[in-house]
Amino acid sequence: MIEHAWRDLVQATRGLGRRPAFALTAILTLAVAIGANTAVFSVVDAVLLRPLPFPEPERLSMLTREGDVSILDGVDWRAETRTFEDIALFLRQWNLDLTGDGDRERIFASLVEPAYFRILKTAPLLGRTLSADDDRVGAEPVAVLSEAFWRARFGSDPGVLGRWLQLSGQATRVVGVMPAAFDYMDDEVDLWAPVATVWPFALGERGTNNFDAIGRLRAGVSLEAARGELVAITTRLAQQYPKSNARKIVEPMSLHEFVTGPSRPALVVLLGAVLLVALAASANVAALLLARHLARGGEYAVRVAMGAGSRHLFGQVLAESVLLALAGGALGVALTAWGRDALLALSPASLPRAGTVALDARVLGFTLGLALVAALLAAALPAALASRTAPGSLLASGSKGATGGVATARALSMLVVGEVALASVLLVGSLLLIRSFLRLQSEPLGFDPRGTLMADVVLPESRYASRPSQTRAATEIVRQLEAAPGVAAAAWVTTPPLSPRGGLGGAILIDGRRFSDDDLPGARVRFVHGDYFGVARIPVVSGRGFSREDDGGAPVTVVNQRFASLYWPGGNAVGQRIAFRDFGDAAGPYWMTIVGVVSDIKGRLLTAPDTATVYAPFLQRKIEWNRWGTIVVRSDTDPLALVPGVRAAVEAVDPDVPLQDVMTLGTRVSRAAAPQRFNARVVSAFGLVALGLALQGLFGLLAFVVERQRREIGVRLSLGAQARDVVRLVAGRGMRLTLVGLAIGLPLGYALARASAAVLFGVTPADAATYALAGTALLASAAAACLLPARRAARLDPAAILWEP
Amino acid sequence: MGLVCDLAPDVSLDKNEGMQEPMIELCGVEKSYPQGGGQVYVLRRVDLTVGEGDFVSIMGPSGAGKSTLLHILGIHDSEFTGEYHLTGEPVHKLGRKERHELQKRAIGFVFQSYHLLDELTVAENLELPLSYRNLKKAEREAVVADTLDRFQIVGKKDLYPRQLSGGQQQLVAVARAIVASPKLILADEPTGNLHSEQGAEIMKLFQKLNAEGTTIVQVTHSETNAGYGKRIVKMRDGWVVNESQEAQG
Repeated sequence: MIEHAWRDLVQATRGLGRRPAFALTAILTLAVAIGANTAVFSVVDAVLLRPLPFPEPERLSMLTREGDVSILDGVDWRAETRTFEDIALFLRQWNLDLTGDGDRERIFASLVEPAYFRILKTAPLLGRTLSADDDRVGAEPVAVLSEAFWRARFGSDPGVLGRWLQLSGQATRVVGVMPAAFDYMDDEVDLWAPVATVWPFALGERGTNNFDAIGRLRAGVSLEAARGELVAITTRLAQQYPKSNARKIVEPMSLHEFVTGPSRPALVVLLGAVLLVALAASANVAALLLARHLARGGEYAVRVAMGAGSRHLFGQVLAESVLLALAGGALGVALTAWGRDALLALSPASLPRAGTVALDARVLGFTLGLALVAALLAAALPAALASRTAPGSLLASGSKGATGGVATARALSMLVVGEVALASVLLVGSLLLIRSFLRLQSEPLGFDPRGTLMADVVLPESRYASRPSQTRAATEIVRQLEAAPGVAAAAWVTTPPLSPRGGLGGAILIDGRRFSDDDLPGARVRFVHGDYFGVARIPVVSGRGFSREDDGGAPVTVVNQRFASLYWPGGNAVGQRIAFRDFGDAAGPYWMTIVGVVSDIKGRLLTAPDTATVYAPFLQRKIEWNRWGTIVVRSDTDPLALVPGVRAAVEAVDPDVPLQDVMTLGTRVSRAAAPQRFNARVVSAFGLVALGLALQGLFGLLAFVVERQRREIGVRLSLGAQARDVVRLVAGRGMRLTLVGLAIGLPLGYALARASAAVLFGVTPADAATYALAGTALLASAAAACLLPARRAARLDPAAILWEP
Repeated sequence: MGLVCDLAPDVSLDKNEGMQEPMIELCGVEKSYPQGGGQVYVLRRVDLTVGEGDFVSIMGPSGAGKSTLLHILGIHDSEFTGEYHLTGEPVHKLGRKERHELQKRAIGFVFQSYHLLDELTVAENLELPLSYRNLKKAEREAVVADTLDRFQIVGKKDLYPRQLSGGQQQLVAVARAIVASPKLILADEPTGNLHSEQGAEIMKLFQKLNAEGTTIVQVTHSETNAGYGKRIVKMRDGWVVNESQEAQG
């Protein structure tokens, strides 16, 4: 058996060596498909399939979604839970200013309870994690660094332990370094610090609902059981603390799902698409093997005559196919590094765990498996035909070499139909994704990104802890910006457009109306300073925007259309009074008069409509803790040319205020479309590859048919057929197969598009124009592929053919 | 092996008196294809016996059914009616696997176009039939070496078919046909692609093999080649029209 296989492999190697063009074509075809599959799988494996890098990761659960609970809730949960071994609250992406040692820098911290480290059960790379003693008000400020920050800032110096960092004016001692994998949410965390020393007042406020919660289930406890228990606890807390806890949502889900879930639909579509490419490549190689089978049909017949059974012939074909696939796989792996880099470069920044993508034994195992499956797929049909070889053709009445021509032609036709079907599936998918992306691009933004530059600003807490200091700084920054060269207008807003996390939000009171706690209106809140609506060109639909006079005048507000239509459907919101339930002061509701309604904008995502939003003058806000904002400036020329002037303007106010995320509003829009752009580009690339393979298959089939029917064509020509008759004969066959492939592929494409509807936007899986376009493109390409063999057939010399020996 | 045929009275079963045990016995073998509502017969009521050690030449014009008969004799075609016994085994009753085993055990083929495998050397071509017969490598090598020696082609063992003349290729093909020691060689126009001198060489080789005990059935158009055999079976329109015992040429 092994000896047979070995001999088959040796003979196959020799045979392929003799036909380098055939071997190279097949190997390259497989290499492209296997390389693309390996690259995509390496990403899918790292992002979706691998367990989180913690012990017993299946017991880890995320209890909340978007900063929904307070530290005091966590205290109660921990006290009452029987389903969780431990629960820890944490706050992601807290801005801290690092000063003193080198350039000033804004860094991202995760504020965590010490239980966070116990739950994830990860040993530090250096030093220690946080302890209960660190998380007390008045304790020495300490921090645990991320591996990336330790590497970038301290050159991986093991002596970093005990070093002091100036974080937002507070000396903080480094006590540990965590391994790279600990930043499993890809928050680009620079360090983890205790809540108590960084944000002490959060410890005692049940209304400070900015935290997320993570927990480790007790062994054997299901997520369902935990959900039931948490709902009971939160219901009780809501009754006990209705003002702060009435609307809290707890949705425990596996941590793995939380981290990877959002990326799943796109990656599954991508994997599906690239697997279709592998199928198309296998079909193509099968076609090549079939053509070769025809060329060596005599050989198989001889082998049968010499006693070979179907098993032997199958082995013979399979050996060749396996060799091709292994060579293709090896070359594919070499291409993978490039493909993976290209994929990651194209992928949206939101792709989690992208840093862990590796070409390791697991991925190589997949590659080997795929190569072998491709080999089997490619070999199946030719081997089946080979094993049916009868040696009758070897007799003098048969012609040398030409066995099974009809069966081979039929099998080739089947393969071409399959390839066209696969290509049409991928073309439909590509076109739907491209149309989704174009729809997204043409979605009304509600603002005009042209000529607009923006940058995030965080006022250091050490000097801007009070409202007056924050107001002074923001006012002065806007004034300096307005005076900067090239700046046509400038403003400040707490949360700019397209902020996925949404920014501030809260319950709204409406003067003269009563709502139950369950029905209280909620809205996103954007505090603005300067002519924000003018700078971002957000149209004022009715009433007016803010003016300088409002800063010191009566409390006013502007709402968006959605808010107005929700609460005054058909009526006029202007002139009504609303108040923030949570952003007022002790004196009771701080009523603001609605002076205008502005257009809805893309506030969080390009794919989601705006939520109800309330704009209020920054200077009229009552909250003390709003130290951050985004400056927005408009220029009549290239907005990027404003960067030095904007930097200088902010420095003129406070040289210790760093500018972060400096970019044009256009870039922000472009980044928001990144996932759709990624899908459209990558799947389209795969679609084009599949189309190329299908056309190559079609071309090869027709060339084969012309060769096989030379005599018939010669007779037809000699009997008076015109060149166009021959072209029609040959091309007609190709086009008929294309139509059959389309008839199979388009419905299949629809079925797959329906299953992947989650990644579409603004276009339905049944979009008729898409199918018409895919069909037309395929028919036109197929016609082009048919033309050359058809014309070659039409130019055959009948006299020469008919006198051939 | 008593086999009674009551068909085709003009064809006797055992014309060679004193012949050894029958190698091939065909009894009422017919083959037809459906065509236009009827049947087109390519073989009609063929009764034929070929004894062990016989050398039979089948002759006839194109379309006479020679190749079809050779197909059936070679167990490439099992779609026929009637009875076919080969070395006493009822081929017409055997399953696919048993037919294949019998074919491997009993028959060697020689073709007009040699059909050597281009990618294998002479020695590898010779080894090919053995490789399908569960022989150990050492045994195979020994048999191949013997055969190379016997056919005096040792010096060519590492050459590829394209490096040989037509006659040499057919010589290798004959060597390949007998390498697994079949009792029967079926040859289809074995000299059709050779010039007369080379053809004569091959025919003499067949005679030699026959003299050593191998039964040979060849299809040929050449009276001269037929003359090398012991008997001629003539066919026309699917019928065996007569059978003559020829003097060895």
